[in-house]
Amino acid sequence: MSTDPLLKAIARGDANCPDGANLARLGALTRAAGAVPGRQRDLRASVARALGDGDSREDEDSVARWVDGAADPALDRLRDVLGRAGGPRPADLRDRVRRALAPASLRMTPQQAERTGRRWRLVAAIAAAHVAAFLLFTTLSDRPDQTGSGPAAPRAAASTASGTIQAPTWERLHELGGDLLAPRRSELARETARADARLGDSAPAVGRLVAWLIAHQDARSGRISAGGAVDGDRMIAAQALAALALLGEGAGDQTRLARARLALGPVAAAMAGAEPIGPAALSASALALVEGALVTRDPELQLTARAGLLRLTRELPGRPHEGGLAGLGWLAIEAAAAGGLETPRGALEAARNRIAKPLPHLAADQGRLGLAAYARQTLGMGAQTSTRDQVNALAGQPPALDAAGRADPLAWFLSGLAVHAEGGPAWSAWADGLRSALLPLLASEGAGLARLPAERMRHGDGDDVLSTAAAILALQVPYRYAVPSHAATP
Amino acid sequence: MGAALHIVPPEERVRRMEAAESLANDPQAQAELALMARVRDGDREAVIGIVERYQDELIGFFYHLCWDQTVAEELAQDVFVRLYNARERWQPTARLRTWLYRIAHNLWIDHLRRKRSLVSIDAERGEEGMRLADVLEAAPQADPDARERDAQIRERVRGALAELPEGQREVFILANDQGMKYHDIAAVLGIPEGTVKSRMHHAVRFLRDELADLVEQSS
Repeated sequence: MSTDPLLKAIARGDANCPDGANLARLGALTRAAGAVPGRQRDLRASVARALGDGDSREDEDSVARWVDGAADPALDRLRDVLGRAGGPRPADLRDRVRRALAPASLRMTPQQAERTGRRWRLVAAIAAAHVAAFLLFTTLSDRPDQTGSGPAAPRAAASTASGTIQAPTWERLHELGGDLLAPRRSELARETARADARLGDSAPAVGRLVAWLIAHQDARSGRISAGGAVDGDRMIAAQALAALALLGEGAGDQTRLARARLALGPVAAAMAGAEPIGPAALSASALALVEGALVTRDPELQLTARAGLLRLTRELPGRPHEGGLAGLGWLAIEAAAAGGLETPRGALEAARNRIAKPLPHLAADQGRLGLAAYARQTLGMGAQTSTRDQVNALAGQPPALDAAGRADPLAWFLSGLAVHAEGGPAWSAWADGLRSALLPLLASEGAGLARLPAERMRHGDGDDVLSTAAAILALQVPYRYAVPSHAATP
Repeated sequence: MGAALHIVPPEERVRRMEAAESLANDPQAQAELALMARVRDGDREAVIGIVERYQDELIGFFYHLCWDQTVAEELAQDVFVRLYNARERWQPTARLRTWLYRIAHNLWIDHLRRKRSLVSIDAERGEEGMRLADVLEAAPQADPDARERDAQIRERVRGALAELPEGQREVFILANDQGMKYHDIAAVLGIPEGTVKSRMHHAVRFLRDELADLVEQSS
């Protein structure tokens, strides 16, 4: 029996202990419940094993000699077997460490920028916009085209005033070493692009929608689900679009980025599986993997994206499909090429010819028109008559709800990219339409969360993940990709 | 200072003197001392020299603990950043490699503590059981049976290593993969050499039993 007064009181009560009666009752209760942790463990087997292990010391010494370099055939064989577990791929950390060690003033993170206060952020945003525009003007603009008589003269000079991060055609952007995703690389760049696109007031809504997606993500599988009955293609598409929405907010916030990476898990699994995937889901999945690789610059994700592109190329849709959704597949291949990822041989040409370049009828749906116009803008065909017609057709029908009061954010995403590249009054009207059509439909859910209910989206049946992700994409248009700068040239 | 010397056992003092002597006679250690002296003076570019020299083995160390390339790279990067941040605490009597692994060990412990909230696609296994990266990595191998067999062996070996208790696993990886001697491992982990020896022995015995058939086949 213990001599500790507390244990004594618990064991049999102690009149001298101030709380003796209660402690005794506690002891009785625990004994009745059989809760005597660790006391009833049977040590016989382990002791017998330890005693029976007569050559343990000798073993220890032989292992020690082996560690010191002595030969031991049995242990050498074990080492060979363990070597088959594989090793890491080589990586060069020098630049990453350099960046991490750079003085704080040179590497202000979005979080730090957040802390410095809104006023400073606005000042810094304006300065950053000017610097970015100046740098792009001096390094990326395609001067020969600008002065030439060709139809693709850039309008980079105009960009210095607007602050929008612009680029020549995506192909040229890649040759010049530019970053296709520059507008989303920092909070400042996103804020600037939003403000420039007259959608600055949509930032809180995007934040709440993103938070809703994260709140509905399974922390183990990465799957984002709101409990609705969705499966197959629709589930894969929703997951891919949700991953794209999270990736659209860049890489500054590590928690959000980790969630985006996690969301790519089910997408990668679906792409690696043998199950057939429809053109829209396949295209969205490939784009999500490519953007994941480009945003994170992670070699492992780059490998995964390459594998996704292989499957996409093998099963490349033969046409743009309804709403131009196969255009996401073209976008995946084009973005991969512009971002420096290796694309399967012939993939770029095939995607351009089959999906991007076919001319739609001007009465085609917005998504289809938007895809065609945006593809032409990024390919340096922004000034062609057909592109002008498409852009004008889109500008003439800014976002508005249909007769049933539903939004069409996926179509608005593809067409928004084209109209945003066009800029000017067309985009101003578009931004106003987007704001007034979409934002009132969002349903608040708890503190800081919002979603677009599936029934408020055209073809949005199922759970709210797809509709919410699509709403985010539509609102992210101003900072999704560097804007092809030739678009407005007459 | 004098009091501190008195509480160090004589054999430990002898060991330290021997260590200092071996440090003085090792040209690589001397070069690293010079590099660390620059780091201590705030020279960031000197850290890059250390990165160049040690990045592969530190990534390997973390990779064998977590089997996740991204996490391994991130942790290895953090080692160098922490080395720089803690440069003023570095003593010229310590071997740079030991110092780096001490930091790595502490980072690994921190990582395990917050592991529940960390997520990575690399750790994520799809429902189909194979990552795209695995498929692609295995692609050059013509024989699908051999590929399948290799994948199974890899999973088994990784599984066996993962089953080792954390302390044993770290000792085993430092000894087997990083080629460290017991006294260096003891210095890295801050435990007696006897404990290192015993952990290593238990780890080897467990792995030998667990992978007996594979070891047998390899002979």
